[in-house]
Amino acid sequence: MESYQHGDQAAAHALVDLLSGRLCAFFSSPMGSRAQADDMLQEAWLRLHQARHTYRPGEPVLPWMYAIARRVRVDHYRKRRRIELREVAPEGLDNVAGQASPASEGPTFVELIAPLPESQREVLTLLKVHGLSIEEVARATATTAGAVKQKVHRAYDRLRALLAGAETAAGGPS
Amino acid sequence: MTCREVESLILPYARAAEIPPEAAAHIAGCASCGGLARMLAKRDAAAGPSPAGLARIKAEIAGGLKPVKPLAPASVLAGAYLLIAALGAAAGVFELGTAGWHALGGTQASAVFLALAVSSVALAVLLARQMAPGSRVLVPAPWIVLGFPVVMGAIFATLFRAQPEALFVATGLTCLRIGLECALPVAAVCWLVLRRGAVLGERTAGALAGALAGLSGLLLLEIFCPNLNAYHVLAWHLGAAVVSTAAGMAAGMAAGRIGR
Repeated sequence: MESYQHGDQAAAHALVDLLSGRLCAFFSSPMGSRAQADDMLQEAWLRLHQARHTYRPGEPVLPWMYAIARRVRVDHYRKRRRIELREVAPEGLDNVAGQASPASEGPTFVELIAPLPESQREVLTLLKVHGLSIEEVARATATTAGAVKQKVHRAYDRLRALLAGAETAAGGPS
Repeated sequence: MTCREVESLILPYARAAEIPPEAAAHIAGCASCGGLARMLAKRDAAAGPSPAGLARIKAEIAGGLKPVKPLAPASVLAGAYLLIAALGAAAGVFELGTAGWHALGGTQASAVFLALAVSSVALAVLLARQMAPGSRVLVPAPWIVLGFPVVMGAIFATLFRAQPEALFVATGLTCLRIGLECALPVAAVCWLVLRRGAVLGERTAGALAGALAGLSGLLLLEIFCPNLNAYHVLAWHLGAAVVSTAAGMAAGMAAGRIGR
């Protein structure tokens, strides 16, 4: 990252190779298309490049990167929502079920945590899918480590309740 | 071991294989924790970026690749914000005088200026951290933005005598105007410094800049205005700081919308 700041092209390319997979996974969602994820990836790299001077040597890179990527995603959703409000959606365009995983594979992690509120879903995904530490998630989401822990515990409580409900429904009379 | 303790143990681990043995023993015997652990261990196969897309990104980056100087340390930036706020108040004091400083009692002056100093340092540090994405957050910004008027209000209500005033609005509006006239240039200069970083939360940054500028106005009013009536100080001196914070937040939101 420091070599990138010094204008080293090889370091910049290595960083793009190293981090784009993580960014792509971050932007992929069951409700979004591949093209949207690619657009967000490109936009994220543009912003990361413009903000590369704000990375302080010695600080962790991932929270810096995810904080900017998170903002790209928020802006993208807001823009998409504005467009959707103005347009009449053709039938089936937002058919999430059509893009969901095949029944044989079972629900994906993203589908499993879909009933959670956005803030809980976000920290759980960063923690469990992207492998960030609690401190890194706190930095990326501009909050405290204590707040992250609280959100995760609330998410766990909700997931336990959902699991218990699903088991009751499965075991109950049909 | 309780289910809550298991949650705390598995919380930092992204992979099921990394779960500590003591938690694993509980998970094996607990249906709820077992279901939760299975859910969290599930992995989605994420599609990677396309080679063409990566090549395009690399070409774009290579086109604008120049050496950049990393942002100054947060402590230096916080110092710069404090200096801006202090200079703003000092310019006002130079023009208007120090009648308020001489009217204040020892306890009143100590409490007011200590609270102003602590609040200003906290706001300046938070403002400096807004400039670098992924900075550590020790105290959430809303706590400080909402907390400083409460603390200052409590000090004014406790240490200043409240009494009815004949020209409450007329004299008050003068103080409000002076406070805001001091805050406006301070906020503008703070915003110019903020723009050197990559602000992701414009609303928060705007509120912090507005609050710091408002404190600069409040400092000027406490040094200049000899009116120690609690009603006057609470409504118009502290009011100037609150209005400045709200205006900063609104300006930040507007800047965020324009930026998008």
